[in-house]
Amino acid sequence: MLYYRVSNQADAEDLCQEVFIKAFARIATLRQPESVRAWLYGIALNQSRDFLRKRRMLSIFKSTPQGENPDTADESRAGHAGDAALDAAAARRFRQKLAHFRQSLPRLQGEVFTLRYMDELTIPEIAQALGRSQSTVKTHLYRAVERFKKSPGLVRELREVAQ
Amino acid sequence: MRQEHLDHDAVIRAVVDGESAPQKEHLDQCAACRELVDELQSDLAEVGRRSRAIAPRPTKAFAWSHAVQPAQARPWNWPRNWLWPPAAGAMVAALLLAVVWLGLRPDSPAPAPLRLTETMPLAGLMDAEPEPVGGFFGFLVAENISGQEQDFFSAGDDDSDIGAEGAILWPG
Repeated sequence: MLYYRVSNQADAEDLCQEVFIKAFARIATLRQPESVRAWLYGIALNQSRDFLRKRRMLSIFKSTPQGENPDTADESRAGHAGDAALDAAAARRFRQKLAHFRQSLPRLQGEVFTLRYMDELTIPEIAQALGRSQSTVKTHLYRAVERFKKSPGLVRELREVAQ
Repeated sequence: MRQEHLDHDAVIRAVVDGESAPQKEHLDQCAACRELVDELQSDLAEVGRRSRAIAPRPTKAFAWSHAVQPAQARPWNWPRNWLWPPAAGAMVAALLLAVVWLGLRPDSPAPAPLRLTETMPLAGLMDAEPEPVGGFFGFLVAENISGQEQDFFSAGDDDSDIGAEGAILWPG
């Protein structure tokens, strides 16, 4: 989930490590052990938000972009095991359309959509991770799914590959 | 009786709500609507499946820092807790208030209420030698005002304490 938020593998790995270190250091604050997944995602969301904020600040002073371009990321990982099932071009096209779709959504809608369909969290877990009510989460999810249904490029891409 | 199909919003709501959707009863009976809902759910599930499939695997092993320790309840540490900035600030403010309050307190007790205990003939007062004005006000008068004018500022000239019977009223 961190990779799709920061669009850079090295940054995602560093952040992932920080998330687990922070979680370990704060394990005493976990009151409901059964909701550990939502708790962990909550930490990861805060970490990624802080990271993106810092990156935006740094990008003001740097001419080169900090983020890895998701369009070209596949080519550098052409032989990667994760891409074995899909060819690099199709993966690139999908990633491009997914990134475009996520960027078209307002921030909270994008977060909710990603947590629900990409990270497979339940609605109560999303509500806990984001610190929002379940009805708020459902409202944002409803709007995001409506936009997804209206984005023919991504849906067509999905169906073509599925066939 | 023929049932109406779900509209666009109801299909999306059914997808978001899943099994708890109020449209479930209709979906169990209407194959066409069920197909629409299943198709959208399938597309959304495919987004997740593909995004996870093409996400890169970690390239480096997790490095656990030995400095990291789980948070534990710490014993009471009076210097740290007492010197905690808000507490220290509150203490300083309280100290300042106390100093200011003590500084503004009058040194002498409040004057006793004025009582008619003794009368003095006005003529005797008129004959009495005027007392010089002391303190900083007296210094200003001595430096800046001529001798005749200085008499005006001397004690005894003020007739505000003269009573109705022509006598000075002295506090007891």
